[in-house]
Amino acid sequence: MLAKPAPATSHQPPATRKRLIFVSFVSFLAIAFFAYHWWPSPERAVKNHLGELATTLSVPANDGDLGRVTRVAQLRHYFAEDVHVRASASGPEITSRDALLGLLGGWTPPPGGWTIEFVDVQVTLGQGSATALVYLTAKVSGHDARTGAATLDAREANLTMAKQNGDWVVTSVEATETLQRP
Amino acid sequence: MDAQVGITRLFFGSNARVTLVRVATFVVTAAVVFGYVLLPVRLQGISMRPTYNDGMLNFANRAAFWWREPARGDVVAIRMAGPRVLYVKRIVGLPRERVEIAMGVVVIDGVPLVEPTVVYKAPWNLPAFRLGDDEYLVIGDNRVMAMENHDFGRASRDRIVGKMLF
Repeated sequence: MLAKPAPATSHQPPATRKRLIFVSFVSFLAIAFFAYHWWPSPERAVKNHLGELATTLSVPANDGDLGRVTRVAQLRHYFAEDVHVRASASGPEITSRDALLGLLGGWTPPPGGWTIEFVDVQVTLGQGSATALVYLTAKVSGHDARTGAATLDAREANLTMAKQNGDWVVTSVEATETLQRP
Repeated sequence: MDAQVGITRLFFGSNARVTLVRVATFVVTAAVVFGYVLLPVRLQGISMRPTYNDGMLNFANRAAFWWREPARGDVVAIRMAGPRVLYVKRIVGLPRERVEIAMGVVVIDGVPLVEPTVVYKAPWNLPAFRLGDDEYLVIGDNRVMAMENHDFGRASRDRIVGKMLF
């Protein structure tokens, strides 16, 4: 007489089996969540790169000349040589990295410093994932020099980025007015 | 053993499963409500004084415009690239209306607008213009400063996220 062995789980009490199913289900959800959020992708690489750019653009309180020079040197890696930057529709356009860095290097930040964050970052990859269109809000938090009160400024911007020598660089920046003046 | 049971009861109650279901329900409900319907907003700046002061906590109610369109006088949240940073302004002009500001008074289609929420009006002047089909004119309540220092302007309907709850 032949008998097919019963599955091992059938010997387990129903409560233990249910618990096992529950734990497996929760584990699966957790793994799926982490995979969705942290799985490497070109889009994530662009976002991470922009996060690093925001950190580099942030200025600590009482930043000295050395800090400024170091920051400008670091910023060189984030921009294409022929980067185009337009801060406002009617304002002048910067058309090279050297001009941009010259402007940033010659400018004195407020004594309290500021923190820049890029939020609501939306990335659209181009063909072959070698270029990207980015739409984001640049959030600038700081403190008022006179009163010490917290200040917040924000501006939305469209960026184009390209992969050059394996690294993402910003090729253009155009700020957009959220509320359009009549 | 008794101590372990006591600790389990302390955290999970007499019925751990029911407690976990309650906690999960609460977390999911809070995530849905505060993530998609009532967006928490920390107000920063003085542009809506005296209605709102700097640092106040409020909520942008997305459900407010599910059944009706924004109306004049509504204080609304306006998104930038997304909902993480919002402008909070009052609607003064509706789509297709002809708007102008003369010595601080907003004039809609030739009729001066009564604005009880604006305490002091600096003498702003803005030539007449007509709003587009889905455009609203939004301005803060605090108009003591020069017009150039106040963020206001046209906002398209798709940028209006919701109405301020309080």
